[in-house]
Amino acid sequence: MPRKLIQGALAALLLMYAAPAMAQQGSANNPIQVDCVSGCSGGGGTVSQGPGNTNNPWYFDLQGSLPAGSNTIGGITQSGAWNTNASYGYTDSTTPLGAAGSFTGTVRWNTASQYTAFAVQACADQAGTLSLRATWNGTYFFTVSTAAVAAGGCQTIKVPITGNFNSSTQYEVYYLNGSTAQGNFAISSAFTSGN
Amino acid sequence: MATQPPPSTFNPQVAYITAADESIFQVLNEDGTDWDEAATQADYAEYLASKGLPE
Repeated sequence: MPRKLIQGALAALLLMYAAPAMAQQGSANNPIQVDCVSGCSGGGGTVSQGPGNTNNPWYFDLQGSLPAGSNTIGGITQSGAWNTNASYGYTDSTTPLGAAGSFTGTVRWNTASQYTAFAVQACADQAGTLSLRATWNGTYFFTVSTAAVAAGGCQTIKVPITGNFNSSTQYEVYYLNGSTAQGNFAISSAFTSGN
Repeated sequence: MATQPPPSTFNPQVAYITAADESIFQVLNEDGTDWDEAATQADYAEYLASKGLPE
């Protein structure tokens, strides 16, 4: 979305919540500033765009105070596609495993700042064990979490993404089948911004 | 049981299947960035059949 359009939408939102009487002031350094100038018991306050940075381009400072009670300043409501890239998923495998066979997934790492977790889900018609592994050196994998999968059942593991952004923490899914060959198996994973 | 060596193109960063005897199965796609699951599955099934194991 163009920057000016975002600025305009946010300014309109702030005006709506800061009624009844507002004045807009803007400048090159503070393109969005909303002051409550009358009818504001408790004195009102100002909202202005802060300096921001690469990771937080829309950082806002809230200054002032609210009157006692349930008063609030502003609010943001999700409308439409708030995040069109909320998750990125992979169908890792649907190949049935033989007795005591295992599947090791492709190593993946987070490449988008909106992701907060990595999840894996496996379903199988025979009992097995699902694991999520992580590595910090690309070579040795630690098992972060494990879950037993009952015959005919599914299990999901979801862990928060840790480490530095981008390639620091890498993940792989792992599934160990039990003593009976599978007829049906599916394992999939995703980076996600959801809870 | 003899273990089948991993393919010469084996890439541990890409998905693969390991049989009970530790034999590794992985066929890479054309650009080598991911596995070719169908081809890998075919190799794996052929190996299990050759050992008389259920697929």
